[in-house]
Amino acid sequence: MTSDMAHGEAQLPEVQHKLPAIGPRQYVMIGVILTIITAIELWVSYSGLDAIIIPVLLVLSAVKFAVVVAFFMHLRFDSKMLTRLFVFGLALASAILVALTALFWNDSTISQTPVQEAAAGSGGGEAAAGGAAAVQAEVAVALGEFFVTVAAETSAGGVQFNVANEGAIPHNLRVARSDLAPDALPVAAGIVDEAQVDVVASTVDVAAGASDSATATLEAGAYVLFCNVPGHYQLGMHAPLTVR
Amino acid sequence: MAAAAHGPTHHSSTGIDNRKLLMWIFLASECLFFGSLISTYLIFKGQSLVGPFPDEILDIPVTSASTFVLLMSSLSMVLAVYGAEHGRPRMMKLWLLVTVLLGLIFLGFQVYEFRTFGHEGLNLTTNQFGASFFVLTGFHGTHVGVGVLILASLLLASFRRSGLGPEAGFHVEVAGLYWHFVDIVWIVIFTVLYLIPQ
Repeated sequence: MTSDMAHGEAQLPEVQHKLPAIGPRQYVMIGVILTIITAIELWVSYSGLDAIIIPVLLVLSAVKFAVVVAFFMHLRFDSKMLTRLFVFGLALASAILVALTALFWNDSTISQTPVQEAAAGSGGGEAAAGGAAAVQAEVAVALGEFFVTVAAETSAGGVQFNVANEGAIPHNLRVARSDLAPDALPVAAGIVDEAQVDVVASTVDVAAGASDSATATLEAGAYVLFCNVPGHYQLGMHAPLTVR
Repeated sequence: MAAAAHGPTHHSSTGIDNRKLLMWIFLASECLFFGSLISTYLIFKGQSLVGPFPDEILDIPVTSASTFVLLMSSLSMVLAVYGAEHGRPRMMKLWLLVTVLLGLIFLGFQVYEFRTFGHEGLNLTTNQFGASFFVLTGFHGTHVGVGVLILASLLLASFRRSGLGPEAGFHVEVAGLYWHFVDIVWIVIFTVLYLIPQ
Protein backbone atom coordinates (compact mmCIF):
# COMPACT_ATOMS: atom_id res chain seq x y z
CA MET A 1 0.00 0.00 0.00
CA THR A 2 2.69 2.47 1.09
CA SER A 3 4.94 1.49 -1.78
CA ASP A 4 1.98 1.86 -4.17
CA MET A 5 1.40 5.37 -2.90
CA ALA A 6 5.07 6.20 -3.13
CA HIS A 7 5.12 4.81 -6.64
CA GLY A 8 1.98 6.83 -7.52
CA GLU A 9 3.50 10.01 -6.14
CA ALA A 10 6.65 9.45 -8.14
CA GLN A 11 4.53 9.63 -11.30
CA LEU A 12 3.68 13.24 -10.47
CA PRO A 13 5.97 16.17 -11.28
CA GLU A 14 8.70 16.87 -8.77
CA VAL A 15 8.13 19.92 -6.57
CA GLN A 16 10.34 22.75 -7.77
CA HIS A 17 12.38 24.71 -5.25
CA LYS A 18 13.94 27.38 -7.37
CA LEU A 19 15.48 29.98 -5.10
CA PRO A 20 14.89 33.59 -6.15
CA ALA A 21 17.85 35.24 -7.84
CA ILE A 22 17.90 38.07 -5.32
CA GLY A 23 19.97 38.61 -2.20
CA PRO A 24 20.14 40.64 1.02
CA ARG A 25 21.48 43.73 -0.71
CA GLN A 26 18.52 43.85 -3.10
CA TYR A 27 16.10 43.19 -0.22
CA VAL A 28 17.50 46.14 1.72
CA MET A 29 17.22 48.31 -1.41
CA ILE A 30 13.56 47.30 -1.72
CA GLY A 31 13.05 48.13 1.98
CA VAL A 32 14.51 51.60 1.37
CA ILE A 33 12.24 52.10 -1.66
CA LEU A 34 9.17 51.08 0.40
CA THR A 35 10.17 53.54 3.12
CA ILE A 36 10.58 56.34 0.57
CA ILE A 37 7.14 55.58 -0.90
CA THR A 38 5.63 55.69 2.61
CA ALA A 39 7.28 59.08 3.21
CA ILE A 40 5.85 60.35 -0.10
CA GLU A 41 2.40 59.08 0.94
CA LEU A 42 2.64 61.03 4.19
CA TRP A 43 3.74 64.16 2.34
CA VAL A 44 0.85 63.81 -0.11
CA SER A 45 -1.69 63.33 2.68
CA TYR A 46 -0.54 66.62 4.30
CA SER A 47 -0.01 68.47 1.01
CA GLY A 48 -3.54 69.79 0.62
CA LEU A 49 -3.64 68.73 -3.05
CA ASP A 50 -7.30 67.88 -2.59
CA ALA A 51 -8.14 67.13 -6.20
CA ILE A 52 -5.56 64.39 -6.71
CA ILE A 53 -4.87 63.22 -3.18
CA ILE A 54 -7.04 60.07 -3.23
CA PRO A 55 -5.90 58.66 -6.61
CA VAL A 56 -2.24 59.42 -5.81
CA LEU A 57 -2.48 57.70 -2.41
CA LEU A 58 -4.24 54.68 -3.91
CA VAL A 59 -1.61 54.30 -6.64
CA LEU A 60 1.29 54.61 -4.17
CA SER A 61 -0.34 52.08 -1.86
CA ALA A 62 -0.90 49.69 -4.78
CA VAL A 63 2.78 50.02 -5.78
CA LYS A 64 3.92 49.15 -2.23
CA PHE A 65 1.48 46.22 -2.16
CA ALA A 66 2.76 44.91 -5.50
CA VAL A 67 6.44 45.31 -4.55
CA VAL A 68 6.02 43.34 -1.31
CA VAL A 69 4.04 40.59 -3.04
CA ALA A 70 6.43 40.34 -6.00
CA PHE A 71 9.77 40.49 -4.19
CA PHE A 72 9.31 39.74 -0.48
CA MET A 73 6.72 37.02 -1.09
CA HIS A 74 8.70 35.82 -4.13
CA LEU A 75 5.65 35.70 -6.37
CA ARG A 76 7.71 37.12 -9.22
CA PHE A 77 10.05 34.13 -9.02
CA ASP A 78 7.48 31.48 -8.12
CA SER A 79 5.00 29.42 -10.12
CA LYS A 80 2.58 31.45 -12.25
CA MET A 81 -0.22 29.38 -10.78
CA LEU A 82 0.30 31.01 -7.37
CA THR A 83 0.11 34.46 -8.96
CA ARG A 84 -3.16 33.55 -10.68
CA LEU A 85 -4.55 32.16 -7.45
CA PHE A 86 -3.73 35.25 -5.43
CA VAL A 87 -4.92 37.66 -8.12
CA PHE A 88 -8.19 35.71 -8.25
CA GLY A 89 -8.65 36.28 -4.50
CA LEU A 90 -7.83 39.96 -4.91
CA ALA A 91 -10.27 40.28 -7.82
CA LEU A 92 -13.06 38.72 -5.76
CA ALA A 93 -12.26 41.04 -2.86
CA SER A 94 -12.40 44.04 -5.22
CA ALA A 95 -15.75 42.82 -6.56
CA ILE A 96 -17.07 42.63 -2.97
CA LEU A 97 -15.85 46.18 -2.37
CA VAL A 98 -17.53 47.51 -5.51
CA ALA A 99 -20.78 45.59 -4.93
CA LEU A 100 -21.15 46.57 -1.26
CA THR A 101 -20.32 50.23 -1.76
CA ALA A 102 -22.65 50.42 -4.78
CA LEU A 103 -25.44 48.90 -2.68
CA PHE A 104 -25.02 50.99 0.43
CA TRP A 105 -23.22 54.20 -0.55
CA ASN A 106 -25.13 57.14 0.94
CA ASP A 107 -27.95 54.81 1.92
CA SER A 108 -30.41 56.89 3.94
CA THR A 109 -31.15 53.95 6.24
CA ILE A 110 -27.60 54.16 7.56
CA SER A 111 -27.46 56.83 10.24
CA GLN A 112 -26.24 60.21 9.10
CA THR A 113 -24.19 62.94 10.69
CA PRO A 114 -26.21 65.41 12.80
CA VAL A 115 -25.85 68.18 10.19
CA GLN A 116 -27.16 66.04 7.34
CA GLU A 117 -29.83 64.69 9.62
CA ALA A 118 -31.28 68.11 10.54
CA ALA A 119 -31.47 69.08 6.87
CA ALA A 120 -33.01 65.77 5.81
CA GLY A 121 -35.35 65.78 8.83
CA SER A 122 -37.05 69.08 8.09
CA GLY A 123 -37.31 68.23 4.39
CA GLY A 124 -38.80 64.84 5.20
CA GLY A 125 -41.39 66.39 7.49
CA GLU A 126 -42.57 68.82 4.87
CA ALA A 127 -42.72 66.15 2.19
CA ALA A 128 -44.91 63.98 4.42
CA ALA A 129 -47.26 66.89 4.95
CA GLY A 130 -47.58 67.41 1.20
CA GLY A 131 -45.64 70.65 0.95
CA ALA A 132 -44.76 73.54 3.25
CA ALA A 133 -47.67 74.14 5.59
CA ALA A 134 -48.35 77.38 7.46
CA VAL A 135 -47.67 76.55 11.08
CA GLN A 136 -50.62 77.41 13.31
CA ALA A 137 -49.65 75.36 16.36
CA GLU A 138 -46.48 73.85 17.80
CA VAL A 139 -46.48 70.55 19.67
CA ALA A 140 -43.56 69.49 21.86
CA VAL A 141 -42.72 65.79 21.68
CA ALA A 142 -40.21 64.10 24.00
CA LEU A 143 -38.68 60.75 23.02
CA GLY A 144 -36.73 58.42 25.30
CA GLU A 145 -36.31 54.82 26.44
CA PHE A 146 -39.03 53.87 25.95
CA PHE A 147 -41.66 56.55 25.92
CA VAL A 148 -43.26 59.23 23.74
CA THR A 149 -44.55 62.21 25.70
CA VAL A 150 -46.91 64.66 24.01
CA ALA A 151 -49.90 66.88 24.94
CA ALA A 152 -53.24 65.06 24.68
CA GLU A 153 -54.79 67.50 22.21
CA THR A 154 -53.99 70.08 19.57
CA SER A 155 -55.99 72.07 17.04
CA ALA A 156 -56.49 71.22 13.37
CA GLY A 157 -54.36 72.98 10.73
CA GLY A 158 -50.62 73.38 10.24
CA VAL A 159 -48.85 71.77 13.17
CA GLN A 160 -45.13 71.72 13.84
CA PHE A 161 -43.86 68.84 15.97
CA ASN A 162 -40.74 69.88 17.90
CA VAL A 163 -39.06 66.61 18.72
CA ALA A 164 -36.46 66.30 21.48
CA ASN A 165 -34.61 63.04 22.03
CA GLU A 166 -34.13 62.86 25.79
CA GLY A 167 -32.87 59.28 25.63
CA ALA A 168 -29.43 57.72 25.28
CA ILE A 169 -29.90 56.18 21.82
CA PRO A 170 -31.29 57.42 18.48
CA HIS A 171 -35.07 57.63 18.06
CA ASN A 172 -37.42 58.90 15.39
CA LEU A 173 -40.99 60.15 15.29
CA ARG A 174 -43.90 59.06 13.12
CA VAL A 175 -47.31 60.74 13.27
CA ALA A 176 -50.06 58.50 11.88
CA ARG A 177 -53.78 59.14 11.40
CA SER A 178 -55.45 56.13 13.04
CA ASP A 179 -58.53 55.25 15.03
CA LEU A 180 -56.75 52.19 16.44
CA ALA A 181 -55.53 52.14 20.03
CA PRO A 182 -51.93 53.49 20.28
CA ASP A 183 -50.57 50.01 21.02
CA ALA A 184 -52.64 48.24 18.35
CA LEU A 185 -51.01 49.41 15.11
CA PRO A 186 -50.07 46.65 12.61
CA VAL A 187 -46.50 45.45 13.24
CA ALA A 188 -44.23 43.54 10.88
CA ALA A 189 -40.64 42.51 11.57
CA GLY A 190 -40.40 44.59 14.73
CA ILE A 191 -41.61 47.86 13.24
CA VAL A 192 -45.00 49.41 12.54
CA ASP A 193 -45.92 48.57 8.97
CA GLU A 194 -46.04 52.06 7.52
CA ALA A 195 -47.70 50.79 4.35
CA GLN A 196 -50.79 49.95 6.42
CA VAL A 197 -51.08 53.20 8.37
CA ASP A 198 -51.52 56.79 7.18
CA VAL A 199 -48.24 58.45 8.22
CA VAL A 200 -48.62 62.24 7.88
CA ALA A 201 -45.33 63.42 9.40
CA SER A 202 -41.97 61.86 10.18
CA THR A 203 -38.40 62.61 11.15
CA VAL A 204 -35.21 60.68 10.39
CA ASP A 205 -33.31 59.16 13.31
CA VAL A 206 -32.57 61.82 15.92
CA ALA A 207 -29.33 61.33 17.86
CA ALA A 208 -29.38 61.12 21.67
CA GLY A 209 -29.70 64.64 23.07
CA ALA A 210 -30.49 66.16 19.66
CA SER A 211 -33.73 67.63 18.40
CA ASP A 212 -35.57 67.87 15.12
CA SER A 213 -38.92 69.03 13.80
CA ALA A 214 -41.55 67.94 11.31
CA THR A 215 -44.64 69.76 10.09
CA ALA A 216 -47.99 68.50 8.80
CA THR A 217 -51.43 69.81 8.06
CA LEU A 218 -53.69 67.86 10.41
CA GLU A 219 -57.41 67.32 10.09
CA ALA A 220 -59.57 66.70 13.13
CA GLY A 221 -59.43 63.11 14.31
CA ALA A 222 -57.36 60.56 16.24
CA TYR A 223 -53.62 60.24 15.70
CA VAL A 224 -50.88 58.02 17.09
CA LEU A 225 -47.31 59.22 17.60
CA PHE A 226 -44.66 56.50 17.70
CA CYS A 227 -40.96 55.73 17.23
CA ASN A 228 -40.26 53.32 14.39
CA VAL A 229 -36.70 52.32 15.21
CA PRO A 230 -36.95 48.49 15.19
CA GLY A 231 -38.40 47.20 18.45
CA HIS A 232 -39.09 50.59 20.03
CA TYR A 233 -42.81 50.71 19.26
CA GLN A 234 -43.36 47.38 20.96
CA LEU A 235 -41.29 48.56 23.95
CA GLY A 236 -43.84 51.31 24.56
CA MET A 237 -42.80 54.23 22.37
CA HIS A 238 -46.28 55.36 21.34
CA ALA A 239 -48.77 58.01 22.46
CA PRO A 240 -52.22 59.20 21.36
CA LEU A 241 -52.96 62.72 20.07
CA THR A 242 -56.44 64.06 19.46
CA VAL A 243 -56.84 66.85 16.90
CA ARG A 244 -59.96 69.01 17.31
CA MET B 1 22.98 23.94 -0.97
CA ALA B 2 19.48 24.89 -1.93
CA ALA B 3 18.34 21.29 -2.06
CA ALA B 4 19.94 20.61 1.33
CA ALA B 5 18.10 23.54 2.90
CA HIS B 6 14.81 22.42 1.42
CA GLY B 7 15.23 18.78 2.41
CA PRO B 8 13.61 15.76 0.79
CA THR B 9 12.05 15.96 -2.65
CA HIS B 10 8.26 15.92 -2.94
CA HIS B 11 5.97 15.27 -5.86
CA SER B 12 2.64 16.96 -6.55
CA SER B 13 0.33 17.29 -9.52
CA THR B 14 0.93 21.04 -9.69
CA GLY B 15 4.70 20.96 -9.23
CA ILE B 16 4.15 23.18 -6.18
CA ASP B 17 4.48 21.89 -2.64
CA ASN B 18 0.92 21.29 -1.47
CA ARG B 19 1.55 22.97 1.88
CA LYS B 20 2.73 26.13 0.15
CA LEU B 21 -0.23 25.98 -2.24
CA LEU B 22 -2.51 25.71 0.78
CA MET B 23 -0.97 28.81 2.34
CA TRP B 24 -1.55 30.80 -0.87
CA ILE B 25 -5.18 29.60 -1.07
CA PHE B 26 -5.60 30.66 2.56
CA LEU B 27 -4.11 34.08 1.81
CA ALA B 28 -6.41 34.50 -1.22
CA SER B 29 -9.40 33.76 1.04
CA GLU B 30 -8.07 36.25 3.59
CA CYS B 31 -8.26 38.89 0.84
CA LEU B 32 -12.05 38.38 0.83
CA PHE B 33 -12.18 38.61 4.63
CA PHE B 34 -10.29 41.89 4.83
CA GLY B 35 -11.97 43.16 1.64
CA SER B 36 -15.35 42.82 3.36
CA LEU B 37 -14.17 44.59 6.51
CA ILE B 38 -12.63 47.46 4.53
CA SER B 39 -15.86 47.75 2.49
CA THR B 40 -17.85 47.98 5.73
CA TYR B 41 -15.57 50.74 6.98
CA LEU B 42 -16.03 52.69 3.74
CA ILE B 43 -19.82 52.30 3.80
CA PHE B 44 -19.97 53.63 7.37
CA LYS B 45 -17.53 56.44 6.62
CA GLY B 46 -19.09 59.82 7.48
CA GLN B 47 -22.26 58.19 8.83
CA SER B 48 -21.59 58.46 12.57
CA LEU B 49 -24.32 60.23 14.52
CA VAL B 50 -22.12 61.15 17.46
CA GLY B 51 -18.39 61.72 17.97
CA PRO B 52 -15.56 61.18 18.39
CA PHE B 53 -15.16 61.44 14.62
CA PRO B 54 -12.09 60.10 12.76
CA ASP B 55 -10.51 63.49 12.02
CA GLU B 56 -10.68 64.36 15.73
CA ILE B 57 -9.04 61.22 16.99
CA LEU B 58 -6.75 59.52 14.45
CA ASP B 59 -3.08 60.20 15.17
CA ILE B 60 -1.32 59.95 11.82
CA PRO B 61 2.28 60.59 13.04
CA VAL B 62 2.04 57.79 15.62
CA THR B 63 0.46 55.38 13.12
CA SER B 64 3.10 56.29 10.53
CA ALA B 65 5.73 55.16 13.02
CA SER B 66 3.96 51.82 13.59
CA THR B 67 3.53 51.43 9.82
CA PHE B 68 7.27 51.90 9.38
CA VAL B 69 7.90 49.28 12.05
CA LEU B 70 5.68 46.73 10.27
CA LEU B 71 7.29 47.53 6.90
CA MET B 72 10.74 46.94 8.37
CA SER B 73 9.53 43.66 9.88
CA SER B 74 8.79 42.50 6.35
CA LEU B 75 12.39 43.28 5.42
CA SER B 76 13.73 41.39 8.45
CA MET B 77 11.40 38.48 7.62
CA VAL B 78 12.67 38.16 4.07
CA LEU B 79 16.26 38.21 5.39
CA ALA B 80 15.35 35.38 7.80
CA VAL B 81 13.90 33.41 4.86
CA TYR B 82 17.11 34.05 2.92
CA GLY B 83 19.20 32.75 5.82
CA ALA B 84 17.03 29.64 6.19
CA GLU B 85 17.04 28.86 2.47
CA HIS B 86 20.79 29.31 2.13
CA GLY B 87 21.78 27.16 5.11
CA ARG B 88 22.76 30.10 7.35
CA PRO B 89 20.96 29.32 10.65
CA ARG B 90 22.54 32.18 12.62
CA MET B 91 21.35 34.71 10.08
CA MET B 92 17.92 33.12 10.15
CA LYS B 93 17.68 33.22 13.95
CA LEU B 94 18.87 36.81 14.18
CA TRP B 95 16.33 38.13 11.67
CA LEU B 96 13.53 35.96 13.04
CA LEU B 97 14.20 37.50 16.44
CA VAL B 98 14.18 41.01 14.93
CA THR B 99 10.88 40.25 13.15
CA VAL B 100 9.26 39.01 16.36
CA LEU B 101 10.42 42.12 18.23
CA LEU B 102 9.16 44.45 15.49
CA GLY B 103 5.82 42.61 15.49
CA LEU B 104 5.56 43.10 19.26
CA ILE B 105 6.38 46.80 18.90
CA PHE B 106 3.61 47.14 16.30
CA LEU B 107 1.18 45.46 18.70
CA GLY B 108 2.35 47.83 21.45
CA PHE B 109 1.49 50.77 19.20
CA GLN B 110 -1.94 49.28 18.61
CA VAL B 111 -2.62 48.73 22.31
CA TYR B 112 -1.57 52.36 22.94
CA GLU B 113 -3.88 53.58 20.16
CA PHE B 114 -6.86 51.54 21.38
CA ARG B 115 -6.37 52.71 24.98
CA THR B 116 -6.05 56.34 23.90
CA PHE B 117 -9.24 56.08 21.85
CA GLY B 118 -11.00 54.47 24.81
CA HIS B 119 -9.99 57.35 27.07
CA GLU B 120 -11.28 59.82 24.47
CA GLY B 121 -14.66 58.10 24.48
CA LEU B 122 -14.46 55.93 21.36
CA ASN B 123 -15.21 52.25 21.68
CA LEU B 124 -16.83 49.47 19.69
CA THR B 125 -20.37 50.70 20.38
CA THR B 126 -19.92 54.49 20.33
CA ASN B 127 -20.74 55.02 16.65
CA GLN B 128 -20.34 53.50 13.19
CA PHE B 129 -16.75 54.71 12.97
CA GLY B 130 -15.85 53.01 16.27
CA ALA B 131 -17.56 49.76 15.29
CA SER B 132 -15.96 49.44 11.85
CA PHE B 133 -12.57 50.81 12.96
CA PHE B 134 -12.10 48.47 15.92
CA VAL B 135 -13.35 45.38 14.07
CA LEU B 136 -11.04 45.99 11.10
CA THR B 137 -7.88 47.00 12.97
CA GLY B 138 -8.64 44.52 15.75
CA PHE B 139 -8.78 41.60 13.32
CA HIS B 140 -5.57 42.83 11.70
CA GLY B 141 -3.90 43.07 15.11
CA THR B 142 -5.06 39.53 15.87
CA HIS B 143 -3.37 38.38 12.66
CA VAL B 144 -0.16 40.12 13.72
CA GLY B 145 -0.42 38.39 17.11
CA VAL B 146 -0.85 34.99 15.47
CA GLY B 147 2.12 35.76 13.21
CA VAL B 148 4.28 36.66 16.21
CA LEU B 149 3.36 33.33 17.84
CA ILE B 150 4.22 31.38 14.68
CA LEU B 151 7.57 33.13 14.25
CA ALA B 152 8.42 32.89 17.96
CA SER B 153 7.73 29.15 17.93
CA LEU B 154 9.92 28.73 14.83
CA LEU B 155 12.64 30.71 16.58
CA LEU B 156 12.38 28.56 19.71
CA ALA B 157 12.36 25.35 17.65
CA SER B 158 15.47 26.49 15.79
CA PHE B 159 17.43 26.28 19.04
CA ARG B 160 16.88 22.50 19.25
CA ARG B 161 19.87 20.34 18.45
CA SER B 162 18.35 19.39 15.09
CA GLY B 163 17.31 22.98 14.43
CA LEU B 164 14.27 23.26 12.15
CA GLY B 165 15.20 20.01 10.42
CA PRO B 166 15.94 19.40 6.75
CA GLU B 167 13.01 21.59 5.64
CA ALA B 168 13.99 24.69 7.60
CA GLY B 169 13.93 26.90 4.51
CA PHE B 170 10.47 25.71 3.58
CA HIS B 171 8.99 26.27 7.06
CA VAL B 172 10.38 29.77 7.39
CA GLU B 173 9.34 30.65 3.83
CA VAL B 174 5.71 29.63 4.40
CA ALA B 175 5.58 31.47 7.76
CA GLY B 176 7.09 34.45 5.93
CA LEU B 177 4.25 34.40 3.36
CA TYR B 178 1.76 34.85 6.18
CA TRP B 179 3.80 37.62 7.76
CA HIS B 180 4.17 39.56 4.50
CA PHE B 181 0.44 39.22 3.90
CA VAL B 182 -0.26 40.85 7.27
CA ASP B 183 2.05 43.67 6.15
CA ILE B 184 0.32 44.23 2.79
CA VAL B 185 -3.09 44.31 4.46
CA TRP B 186 -1.76 47.06 6.70
CA ILE B 187 -0.48 48.95 3.64
CA VAL B 188 -4.10 49.14 2.45
CA ILE B 189 -5.56 49.88 5.90
CA PHE B 190 -3.05 52.67 6.54
CA THR B 191 -3.98 54.36 3.26
CA VAL B 192 -7.75 53.91 3.48
CA LEU B 193 -8.27 54.63 7.20
CA TYR B 194 -5.55 57.09 8.04
CA LEU B 195 -4.15 58.89 4.98
CA ILE B 196 -7.22 59.50 2.81
CA PRO B 197 -8.91 62.67 4.16
CA GLN B 198 -12.00 62.05 6.29
